[in-house]
Amino acid sequence: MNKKRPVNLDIQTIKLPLPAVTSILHRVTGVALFFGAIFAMYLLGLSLESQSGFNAAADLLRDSFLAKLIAWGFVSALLYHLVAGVKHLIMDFGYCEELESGTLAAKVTLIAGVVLVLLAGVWIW
Amino acid sequence: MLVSVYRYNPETDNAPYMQDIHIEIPGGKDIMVLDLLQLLKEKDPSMTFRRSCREGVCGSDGMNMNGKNGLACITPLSQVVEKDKLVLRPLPGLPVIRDLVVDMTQFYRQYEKVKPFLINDTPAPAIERLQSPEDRAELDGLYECILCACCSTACPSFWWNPDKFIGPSGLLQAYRFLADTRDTARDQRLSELDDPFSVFRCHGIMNCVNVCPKGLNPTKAIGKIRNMLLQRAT
Amino acid sequence: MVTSITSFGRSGLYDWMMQRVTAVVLMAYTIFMIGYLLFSSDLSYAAWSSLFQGTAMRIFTLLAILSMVAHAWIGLWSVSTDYIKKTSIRFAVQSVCGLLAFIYVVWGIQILWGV
Repeated sequence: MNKKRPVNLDIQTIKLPLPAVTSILHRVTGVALFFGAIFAMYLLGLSLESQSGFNAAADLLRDSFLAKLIAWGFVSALLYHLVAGVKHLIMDFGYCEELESGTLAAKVTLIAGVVLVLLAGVWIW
Repeated sequence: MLVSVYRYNPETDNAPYMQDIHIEIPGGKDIMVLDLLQLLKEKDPSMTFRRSCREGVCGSDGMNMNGKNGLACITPLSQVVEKDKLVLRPLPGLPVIRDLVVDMTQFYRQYEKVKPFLINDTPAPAIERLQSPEDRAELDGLYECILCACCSTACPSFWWNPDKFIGPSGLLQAYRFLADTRDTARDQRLSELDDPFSVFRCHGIMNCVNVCPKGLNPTKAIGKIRNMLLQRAT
Repeated sequence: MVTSITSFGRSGLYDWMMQRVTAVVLMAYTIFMIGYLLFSSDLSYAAWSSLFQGTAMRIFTLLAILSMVAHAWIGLWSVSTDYIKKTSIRFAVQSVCGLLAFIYVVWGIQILWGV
């Protein structure tokens, strides 16, 4: 007799609605931003340190592919997190709490997110 | 068609497994998932599942059908079968007793926490405690819950913290009594909900609304509880 | 009532409210910074450093950093209590996050008042 009961929780077998996608991305970008802020703070400090520091920061964002990539990642995460946050605020005010309106809000969030990520890429490169 | 069923017998199995069964539906009719399970049980009497009223009232046969929670008795095959295949798994996140039967203790414990009964300290009148039709209408969309657990077991926040987060079902019931004008324990009820887990683990992904076989909306009820907490505190 | 001693303000409602208020501050700061950087394509050190020498900007930036720290703590606390079930590991992760949050505050003050 097996006393330890199993739990069915294989996420791949479970369908989740679109708002679940926006929510998990909100989490992932939030965690990424907290650690990505090291990079942002470093750049801010460097750019405000002196003229040469400012030049170094500007050069870094102009020439280093890695720095551009991190900056793109950070700005993308920030913009997505912001848009998904606005969706949260809208829901807090009691809107988009029905299945249809909620799914629509999730769609708009995802589309706005993709557009902003692309625009951020254009801006940085 | 192909049915893939989650099987687990604590007396013989160390771990659950998926059993694939090919079955022809007699007459090719569009039967309910529960009828299909009955056919499977005729072939293999060890197939275990809960069922009772077979018409979506008792809430016994909640299960995960092709990834979505619902009541087997009111879900026609045409609604869930994809590419002639149906995967049947027990409700996610709760301990499995056997096959499709889960242990609902955790779920009921959360229901108990919200004190799902009318509290009124004023002396009982000779007749019923009356309510205006408008006040009574506030309870529509709340009292219909049959506690099938489809919503709570479809909620990731409930999966991660089944002991701390009340879950959509319990919160819908919490609001059912908070919204009742005959109840006098509103303040006490709200105090018991104001911690970082009980209500505030809801992040509005709305899978509860998505799966509820009665078409209820726990997400909205949770939003209203939050507004009550907010009004009480500001 | 579930008790927890590591959440931001003990009360669920308080944490929820703080997360919203700080979110609005962060949104304002983000939009301001992106707008500023977008509309000053030939940014010079003189303009950039004089921006951060203004008292209003220092207040705004410090407020944004404090908001970020509070906002992140509430969020990360929620994420860690969801996914990390082993108390010792969760406590360790929360400690690292708390330390980093504190570093951000000190680092931010140092940058702002070092200009």
